[in-house]
Amino acid sequence: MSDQQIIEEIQKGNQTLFRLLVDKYQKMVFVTAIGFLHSKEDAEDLTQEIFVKVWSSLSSFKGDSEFSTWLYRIAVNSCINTVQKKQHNRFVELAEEWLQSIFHTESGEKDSQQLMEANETDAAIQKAIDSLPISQRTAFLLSVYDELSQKEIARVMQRTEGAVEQLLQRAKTNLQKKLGSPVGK
Amino acid sequence: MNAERNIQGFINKEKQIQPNPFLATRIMARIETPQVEPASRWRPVVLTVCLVLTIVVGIGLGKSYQPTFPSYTDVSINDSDIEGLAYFNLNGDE
Repeated sequence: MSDQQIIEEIQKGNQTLFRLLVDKYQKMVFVTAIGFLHSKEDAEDLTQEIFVKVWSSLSSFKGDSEFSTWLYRIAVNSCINTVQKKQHNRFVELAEEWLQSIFHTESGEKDSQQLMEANETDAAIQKAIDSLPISQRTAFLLSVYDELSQKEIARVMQRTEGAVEQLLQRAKTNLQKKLGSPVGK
Repeated sequence: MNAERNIQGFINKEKQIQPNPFLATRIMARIETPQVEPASRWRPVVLTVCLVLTIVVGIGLGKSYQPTFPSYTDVSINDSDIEGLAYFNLNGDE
């Protein structure tokens, strides 16, 4: 059964078929959310919210684009909104980082040096990715996390392929600039 | 390049995170459960306005209160008027 057929059936009233779409796409949405949020719990909550949004606006899906493209658009927009909301709670994040650093120093008895280095590297990479401008970040995450082609990214972001190529190039250059010193040990 | 390898390692690590196996069930349960309408955004505003109004009216009423003191009138009573001693003098025995 194709996505279009499933959606038509759901629109006719066979709502239990929505489970098929959830089963098929939950991992994809979750990975996208992980890329933006870097937290399993937050990504799960957001995945749930995205599917609720999809459910409530499924009647407006006309099939002009593929369902997966439409779903990606909803997912990416939801992720961006969540990230922007989270930026307002910067203080809480800083407190969490501080608590984490305390926790790591207390529990790091065995190979703590290695663990701390790995954590520092990961934190630096996460920070660098998160500091990318939102369009570069979106293109980059769709490319590396979801492994979408430039054509697919262009469809999701509603841009030209050339623009996406440029965004990806800039994202990579920016990441290399930001990670040049702390990562390249 | 080291940076590139580290980025790829970080991404692979994140991509290996698996969602809860019951996530789909949770999503379906959320969809099938009718959600309670969240309280209106105006509710706290209305409550605040009511509270402020109550305080203002209370202060206004308190200020407008004029105590009414009882009008004291001097009562001068001559005891001799109450008890006419002359009455006792009108004794026929005398």
